[in-house]
Amino acid sequence: MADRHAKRKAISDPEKFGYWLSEIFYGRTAKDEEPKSKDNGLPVNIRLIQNDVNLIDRLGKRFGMSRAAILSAMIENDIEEMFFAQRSDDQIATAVEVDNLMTEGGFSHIYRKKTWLLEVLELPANYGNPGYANSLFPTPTDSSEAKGDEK
Amino acid sequence: MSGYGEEFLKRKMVEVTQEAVTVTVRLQPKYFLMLKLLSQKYSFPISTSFTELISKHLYDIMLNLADEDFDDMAKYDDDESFGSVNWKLSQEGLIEQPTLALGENAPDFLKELFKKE
Repeated sequence: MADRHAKRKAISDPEKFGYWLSEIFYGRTAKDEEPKSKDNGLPVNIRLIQNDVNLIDRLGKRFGMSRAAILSAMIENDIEEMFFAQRSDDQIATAVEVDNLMTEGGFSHIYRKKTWLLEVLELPANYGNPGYANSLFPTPTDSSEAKGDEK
Repeated sequence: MSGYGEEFLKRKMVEVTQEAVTVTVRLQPKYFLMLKLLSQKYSFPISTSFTELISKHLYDIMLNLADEDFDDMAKYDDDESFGSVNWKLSQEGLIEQPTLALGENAPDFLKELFKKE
């Protein structure tokens, strides 16, 4: 059934996260460049179908990735999509609330106390230029976390 | 005839045989805290919400695998039930639909019903 594979390719959707992840499996696209948190991951229990877990393990074995890495990539992508599915005022509200929770919990921010809020801000043309990040949230005493490589 | 009713019941027959397991995943604090907040704000349970989402991602991965990898991954062991990913692939005609999709734990009346196909 050669045309079975042709049909499969035809309905494969490059817009889907799974497509992108499989491209990473084959090394055809680079991994996410977002800086990873220095903190340890926090545990979440999720219910999965045993058959899906078996498939993830088979994929992990074939492509040299752990079950945890494949699962957390999918789940973190879904959380980001959930966040952006909100209306923009709710995006800002939840961004501010979670940024505050991160600060209170002592977790390191990707960008100075504005990890999520930075995701919803409209980025001006000079974004990424040296000094841009500082101009956003000026705190003259601290420049150690300044980064300008957010998407 | 829409076939929707038939498709619904066949899917349910596959679902009842699927064993669910709890898996612990570690998320970066950024995502962990956002998930907690969204689940509170929009009233959805964290543990079961990803069951379907993960199946969908796996289906999308399967569609883009190289031919030989797809054939390897679509195989399932005899003691394994026919999963939801395989079910969706079979609905698209990408793999054979099993003649008996029910696992050992399925109620007898469902096994009987399916045999009459």
